[in-house]
Amino acid sequence: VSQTVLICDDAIFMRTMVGDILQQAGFEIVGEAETGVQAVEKYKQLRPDLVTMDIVMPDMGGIDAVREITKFDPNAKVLMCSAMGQQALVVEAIQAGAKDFVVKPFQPSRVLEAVQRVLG
Amino acid sequence: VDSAQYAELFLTESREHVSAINHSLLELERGVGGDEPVGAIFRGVHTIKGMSATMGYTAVASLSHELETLLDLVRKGERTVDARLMDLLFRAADLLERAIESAVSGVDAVDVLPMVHQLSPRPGATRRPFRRWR
Repeated sequence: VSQTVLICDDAIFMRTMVGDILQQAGFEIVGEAETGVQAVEKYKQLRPDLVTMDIVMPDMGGIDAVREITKFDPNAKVLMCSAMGQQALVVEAIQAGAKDFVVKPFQPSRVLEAVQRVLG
Repeated sequence: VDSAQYAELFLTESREHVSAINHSLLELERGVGGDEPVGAIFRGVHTIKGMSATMGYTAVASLSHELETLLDLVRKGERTVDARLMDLLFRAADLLERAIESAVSGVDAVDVLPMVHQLSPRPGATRRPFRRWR
């Protein structure tokens, strides 16, 4: 049975790319979210094995979304997707409960390594 | 990941963001909406930065990176919104749009460096070309 993933990013481009990388590696994409609020709602509804979370999103940002998801499920496995120069935000996200992070621009091997660390 | 298949997606989404950025710039200039226009412009530029860096469109990534840095200062209240800043932001958004179209068409003929230097108040930024995305 393949592991399930919820992809959270406000850009379709990024969701498609992360989805392609993970699908090719055998994961099942069970949902996508465009905002932090959606991310929290869909997590509760879908209970995926893994969440990829963008930091900058409308509504509720990725860090607050991680906080909400971790409050709901302390064992949630969230991988942050950050851009260059967001080190401080990454630290905040890890404190909020994220398990690891990858930095854009994405390289498939880096994404998959981080996913393995999170799920390991 | 084959970049070619993402170019169309990049173009469509970037155009939407540029349009939203221009809309929010007008709001910012009129002083309506409180913090929201700056926040919206920041998010749009940030998204374009992430996508363009992924595509290897260095000029677009470089320009959006500097624009994002400046907008972050505006967001934090460390840079005041005045006519000079608005003029700079409108010109930067216009150039961003042209750089996007140019990058996707494969020509990449738009020179963003003068604007990158104008956006960046940091000494030394001119000596540090935008290599770290590669």
